[in-house]
Amino acid sequence: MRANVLTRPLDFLASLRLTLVALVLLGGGVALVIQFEVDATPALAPAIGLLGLNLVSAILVKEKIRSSLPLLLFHLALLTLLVLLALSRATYLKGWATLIEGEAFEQLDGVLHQGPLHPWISPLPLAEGPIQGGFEARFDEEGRRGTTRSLLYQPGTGAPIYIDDTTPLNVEGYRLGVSLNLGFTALLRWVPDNGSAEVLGGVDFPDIISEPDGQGLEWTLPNGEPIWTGLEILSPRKSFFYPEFRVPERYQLVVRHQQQRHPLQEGEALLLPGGQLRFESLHRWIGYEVFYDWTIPWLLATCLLAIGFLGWYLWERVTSTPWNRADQPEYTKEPNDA
Amino acid sequence: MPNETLLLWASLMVYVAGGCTAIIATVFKRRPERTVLALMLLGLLLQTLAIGLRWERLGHGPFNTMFEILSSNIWSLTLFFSIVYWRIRAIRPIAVFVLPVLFMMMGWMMMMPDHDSILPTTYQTVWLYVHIGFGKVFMGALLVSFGLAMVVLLREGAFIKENFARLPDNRSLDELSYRFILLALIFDSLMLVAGAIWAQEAWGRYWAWDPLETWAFASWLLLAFTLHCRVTFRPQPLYSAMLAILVFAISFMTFFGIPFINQVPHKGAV
Repeated sequence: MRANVLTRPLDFLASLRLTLVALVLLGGGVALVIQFEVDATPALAPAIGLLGLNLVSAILVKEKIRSSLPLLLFHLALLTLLVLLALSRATYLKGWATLIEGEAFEQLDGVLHQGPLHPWISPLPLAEGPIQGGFEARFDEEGRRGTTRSLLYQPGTGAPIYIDDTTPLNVEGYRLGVSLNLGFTALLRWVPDNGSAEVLGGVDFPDIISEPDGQGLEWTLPNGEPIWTGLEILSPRKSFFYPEFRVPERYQLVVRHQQQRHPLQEGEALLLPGGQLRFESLHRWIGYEVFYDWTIPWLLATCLLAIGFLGWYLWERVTSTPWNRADQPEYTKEPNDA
Repeated sequence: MPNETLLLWASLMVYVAGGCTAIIATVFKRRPERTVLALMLLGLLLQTLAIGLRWERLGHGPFNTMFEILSSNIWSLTLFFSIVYWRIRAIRPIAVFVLPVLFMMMGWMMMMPDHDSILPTTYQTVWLYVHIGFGKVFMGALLVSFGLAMVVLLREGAFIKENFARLPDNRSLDELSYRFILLALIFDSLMLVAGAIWAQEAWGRYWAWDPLETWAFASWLLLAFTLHCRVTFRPQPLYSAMLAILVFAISFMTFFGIPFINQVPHKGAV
C-alpha cells in the first residue's frame, strides 16, 4: 500500500509517454524561439525541467534502462547534461569590449546577456588585464573582410599574445575573440580654467563598419557641460580600408556646443565655458566579443560520453541480434510477413 | 574550368545511368546489381575529380555556396549509399528510391549558379571538416532509412509487392531502418557537438539559435521522438516507415532548404 503511494507518481513520471510529451514541449519551445524570437532560457526551461524529472524517474524505475549498461550510462549522461545546461544558463555572460593601443582589458564595455548568478562569480574588474598592442584588420579591394590579427601583452611579464579570427584569448575564464567591429577613438584633453588637474580621456565613436555615417555621439565634459563630438573623415573610404584598416589621412573632429559647430584638427583646442578641450590624436579601436561559461569543457565531455554510450548501445544491438529475422535461429515466418 | 564542368556533367550522366538501370531492373524484376554498383563508383570517381579540380583552383572545399553544398552532398550520399549497397546485398533494390532523391539534387544543383566562392576566414578550421563530415554520415544514414521505409510503405500498402518480393520481410527492414536512424542520431549529435566547438572558436558562442542550428536541433528532437515512439508504442512497420520518411524530409529540408532560404549557412559566416 505504502509502496504503491510512492511508486505510482514515480511510474507516471518515468513513463515513455511523458518523454514524448516533454519532447513535443521542447519542440514547441524551439518553435517559439525561432518564430517569435523569445528568450530561449524561459521558453525551454519547463520542457527541460520535465525531461529532467522524467529522466531521473526512468533511471530509478525502468528495468529496460537499468538492465542495459550502455543505455543506463547514456541516460545518466543526458541527466548530467541537463544539470550542466541549467548551471551554464545561470552563470554565463555574453558581452563586448573595445580596446585602443596601450589600453588594458580590465572590464567590459557592455553586457548583452548574463545569467542571474554571473555577478556573484565575476572577477571583473581585473586589477591587471592584458594590454592591447597593435592589430591588423585586412580587407580586399571590394571591401570584403579578410583576416584579423591582434597583438596583446601579458600584464607583468609583457609577453606577446597573438589572437586572430579563430584563436581567442582566455582571461580569467573570459573568452576574448576578435569581433567584426572596428572604429576610431578621439583622444581629448580637458584643461580646466581654475588650475585643477587636467583630464585625458577617449571618445569611442561607433563601429565604422555598421555605422559609417553615424560617427558622432553626445557626452558630458568633466564640468558637467553637455557636448556633441563627431568624426568627419575626408579621405575616400577605400584609402583607409584597403589593404588594411588604418587611421585615415584626412579627417577632422567636429565639436557642437550650444548650437555652434567647431571643426578641430589634431593639436587644436576649443575654448569652452570652464576650460579648454584639446583634440590630441585619433586612434583605431578593435572590438572583442567576450564570453564566459565555465561549463563548456564539462558540457563537451558529457556530450561525447553520451554519444559514446549511445554508440555502445547500438553496437550491442547490432552484434547481439541479426537485423534480418531470416538469419535468426528461432525464426518462423508469420502469415503477415511480406 | 571546362574540365571541371565536363567531369561534373559526365559524373551526373553516369549516376543517372546507374539510377535508371536500378529502376528498370526493379520494374522488370532483373538484377543487374554489379552494373549499378560499378556505375555509382564510376560516377563517384568522375565527381571526385571534378570537385578536386575546383578545390585546387579555388583553394577551398565545396562548403559555401548552394551549388557547392549540393555537389558535395551528392558525392557523400552516393559514397555512403555505395558502401551500404556493397555491404548489405539483401537491400540493394532500395536503390530505386534512393537514387531518384540524388537525381532531384542533381537537377537542383544544375539550376544553381556555379560561380567561384570565397571561404570566410572563420571557415578555415579543421572543425569545419569534422562538423561537415559527421553531417554527411548523418544524412547518408537517413537516406538509407528512407529507402527502406519506402519499400515497407509500398509493400504494406500492397502497391508493388512482387517487385520487392526478394527483399527481407517488413519487420526485418523496419529493424534495419531503426538501426540506421539510431546511427543517424549518433552522427547528428556528433555534428551538433563539432559545430558547437567550431562556433565557440570562430564566433565566441557555441549556440546562437541561427536558422540552421535551430533546424538541426529540431531534426535531432524528431529523431529522439521517433526512437521513443518505437519503444513506447511498438508501432507496425507501416507507421514506423511513415515516421522514418518524416524524419528524412525534415532533415533534408534542414540540410538543403534552410541554406537555400537564408543564403548564409550560419550566423556570423560573412
